[in-house]
Amino acid sequence: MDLQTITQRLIEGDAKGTADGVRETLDDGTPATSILGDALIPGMEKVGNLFSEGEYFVPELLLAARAMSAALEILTPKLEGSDYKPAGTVVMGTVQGDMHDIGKNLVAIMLRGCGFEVVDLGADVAPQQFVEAARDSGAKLVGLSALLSTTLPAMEATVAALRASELGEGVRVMVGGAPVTDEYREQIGADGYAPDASSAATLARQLAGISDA
Amino acid sequence: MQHEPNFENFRRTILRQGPPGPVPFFELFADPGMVEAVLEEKFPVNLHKYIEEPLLELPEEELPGLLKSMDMYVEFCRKLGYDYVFMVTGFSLERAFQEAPDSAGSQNWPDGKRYWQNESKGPIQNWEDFERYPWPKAEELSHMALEYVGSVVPDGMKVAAFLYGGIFEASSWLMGLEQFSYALADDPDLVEAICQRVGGLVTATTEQVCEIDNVDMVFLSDDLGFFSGTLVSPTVIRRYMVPHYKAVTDVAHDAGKLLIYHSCGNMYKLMDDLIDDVGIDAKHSYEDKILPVEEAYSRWGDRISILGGVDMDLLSRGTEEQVRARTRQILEACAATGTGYCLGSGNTAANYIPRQNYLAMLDEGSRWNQENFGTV
Repeated sequence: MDLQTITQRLIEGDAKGTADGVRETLDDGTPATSILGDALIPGMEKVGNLFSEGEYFVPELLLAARAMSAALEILTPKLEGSDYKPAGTVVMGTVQGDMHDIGKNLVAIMLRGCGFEVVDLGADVAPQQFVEAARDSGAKLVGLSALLSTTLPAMEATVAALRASELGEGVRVMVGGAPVTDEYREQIGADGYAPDASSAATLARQLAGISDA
Repeated sequence: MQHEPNFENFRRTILRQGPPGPVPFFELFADPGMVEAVLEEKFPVNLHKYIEEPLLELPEEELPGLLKSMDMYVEFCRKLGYDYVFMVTGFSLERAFQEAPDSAGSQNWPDGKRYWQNESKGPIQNWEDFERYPWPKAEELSHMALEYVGSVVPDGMKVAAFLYGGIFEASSWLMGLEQFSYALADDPDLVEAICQRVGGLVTATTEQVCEIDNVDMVFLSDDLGFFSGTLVSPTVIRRYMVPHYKAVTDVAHDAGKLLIYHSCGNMYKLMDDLIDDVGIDAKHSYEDKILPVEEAYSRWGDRISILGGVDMDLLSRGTEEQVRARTRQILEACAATGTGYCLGSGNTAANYIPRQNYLAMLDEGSRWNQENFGTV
């Protein structure tokens, strides 16, 4: 089976078809790194583009992520010992006092889809928890989500806590969510703002130095 | 100068009929914290549970306190210059909540908590859950709050029935948005069945409230979107939700009532459906970051009324001067023709809006009316 078929099945959210395609292609001798890098990651990138363009929505993103997960369940053991390296590690969370997590979950999906490892702290995360997670995981990138105007101060407090820690400016911070703007990002000293999940993945790659701005 | 309630001016404005007149005020709802802050009086009962669950069993000893609470909402609306009293009604649905401290600050909900919908999972995951779910029965719905308010509403004022929980909202709440999303592909018949059941209840509720004295307006509220688009595709919304919007609107219009549609987020790909197919009278909820209300007015103001739009983030974090300036800007763009626009927030008089900002917005509206029509 050619890799484009796997890509297309992932884009269509066909979990079983994607997994079957991965098994078949592995059996044909295609390296796991090629399947990941040339079929799955481009598929998720296409899904992200369709989301940004207003063609795909939350269900389509979730279905594609489910297909990606099904594929990775097969691929991950094959990647061990290979020359595959993740794009980086990102600590993600919704800030303290805010329970909304679907936006943050969609960003995490897109980040995993483009090769990042994600440490997902969930919702209502205190500033110090972000600091500790970044320190413990070695992450160079932290993503903060907020849906409420009233929890924006927690976003500012989190950036301040990261800067005040030994991590300092060595960790890049990206922010997003309904009340967040690029002006607010600048005000609180974060490094990047993304208006949606797909552009968050692009921003993460830029901040991680993987692609040009 | 105190505003003299004039629902007929309000109706004329919504229906975009002449002659030009003062801009009415519009709000979907006011949180108890805001009502208490404005009236400088505490509610005698915890309203949180009754607002979230309109069908909750009412203990007899709480009745006097509840009636007093309804009186406070009437007084709030009258005092601030509204031509109607907004009141929540509907049906209770058992669903999955997450609880968090209220982050508003000084005007918190009575128990200091806010309840958030669990986005991952709900009580209905499969057909078995659907069949054994304790669905409310249309014939058992009660609208005590509306009936009471309708009986005490001051002359010149009417009552707005705020139907809490729309078709998309309630259906996705029952499954959790994530499971609802998977079900659209894995089991669309289950999604259809849930939407049909919810839509039927919303329509039945509308039929009932339209028979209550002095209820002259129905708020159909269904948050569909976020910043960059709808949560699910317009195709899904057209298939599963729009037919029920049409049914509800037809019921309201057949009874001679106004139908106001409220939806948060970037749902503007559906405006032609709502205006031409459903036949809404007005649309509420605008966010500056998505589509400033003036832009909405220029796009659709010749077809429906545009309501509110003073941004919630500005109201909650801005200075009073910034609120006044923005309100004036909106009025100059949207109220100049004297019809088709009502002033209000972008969402609700939420408890996390400082009282002085909310009052400043309304005061600017009163000044506008005084300057242009010699009345408030």
